[in-house]
Amino acid sequence: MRLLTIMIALFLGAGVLQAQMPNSDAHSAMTTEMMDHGADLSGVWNGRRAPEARAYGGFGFSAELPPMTEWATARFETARPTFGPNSATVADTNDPVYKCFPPGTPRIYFHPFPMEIIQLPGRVMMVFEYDHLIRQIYTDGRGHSEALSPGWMGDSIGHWEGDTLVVETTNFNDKTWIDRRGVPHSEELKVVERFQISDDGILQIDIMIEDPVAFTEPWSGQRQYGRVDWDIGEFMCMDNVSFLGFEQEILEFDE
Amino acid sequence: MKKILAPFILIAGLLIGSTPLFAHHGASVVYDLEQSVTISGVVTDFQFINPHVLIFFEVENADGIKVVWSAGLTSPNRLARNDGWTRDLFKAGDQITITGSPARGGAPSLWVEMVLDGQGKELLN
Repeated sequence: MRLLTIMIALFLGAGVLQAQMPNSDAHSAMTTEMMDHGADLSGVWNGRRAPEARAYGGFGFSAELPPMTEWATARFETARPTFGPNSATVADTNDPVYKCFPPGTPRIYFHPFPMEIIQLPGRVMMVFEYDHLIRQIYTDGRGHSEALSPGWMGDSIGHWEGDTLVVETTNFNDKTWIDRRGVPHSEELKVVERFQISDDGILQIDIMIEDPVAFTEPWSGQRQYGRVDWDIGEFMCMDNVSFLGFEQEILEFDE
Repeated sequence: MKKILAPFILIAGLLIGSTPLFAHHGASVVYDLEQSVTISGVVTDFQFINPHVLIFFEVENADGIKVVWSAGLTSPNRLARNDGWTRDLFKAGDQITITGSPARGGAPSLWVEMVLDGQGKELLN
């Protein structure tokens, strides 16, 4: 019996050793990659808003609207967001996020919950607390996939330019909004982000937005994040449904 | 089978399709955010849950009748990080004073601005 136990232990041990080999390789690859570009984006990040952006930073990249085509303007006029100058009540909104569809890229940055960047060899992962959405940014040299259906968060391919991570995201559906005030986009949307950490440790994301169907010219916006000593928690969109009963009781209160 | 499922699908459709899912953005529909009242009572239930933390507390009105009030706050993770709240912060029987916006329709409910414990300590930053 003891022999059998030892044999099983050896067998399992060999398995563990084998399983560790790729991890070990992966670790050295990560170290090499990180040394090559000298940037470490990993960590938990929480959104920062510049004082001048207080009026619009919760729902848009700037106070002004982006340069929309007629196609986009027509869609924008039918949008009933809950933020911005044309905001409707929650009961009247047609914002897709209120039906728990993913916010999309770059709109996810407007949801006020932290995100974690996990840097792996050939891949950077962004794990968002909001609805536990994940972006996988492949940095292993592959191109965009031709085998994906149009997606909510898009297909992200990245590469390093020195200490800047440059990410191109395409393959979107046209069901999300660019921001929280109802600016639309088409399936032709292309988002190019540049991730860089400033000398004072702020993660700056410069975002270039191109969509010949929706916009007359490319335009850009910026978001900033600060490192926080938090763990990513849960905030699941469907939990909002459980709040409906509480809210309804208050609305229907009759003395 | 279709006949049996139809009413359920209809109900689910109404729930997801036509009702507000994010009450916190619609707080102004339910609560008068321009107004502020302060009410003291005794905690009956504390729910440290998403999407909104809820406090229920019993208040004796001028006629000596006890009424259970509710109070809604932001999400648990935000309260934990910004204000150090935990799921054990209150237990039934604790004295509490809450300042907040009253419900528009007169329901005994507040959208919270400040919470004081039994010693008068402010529990929100």
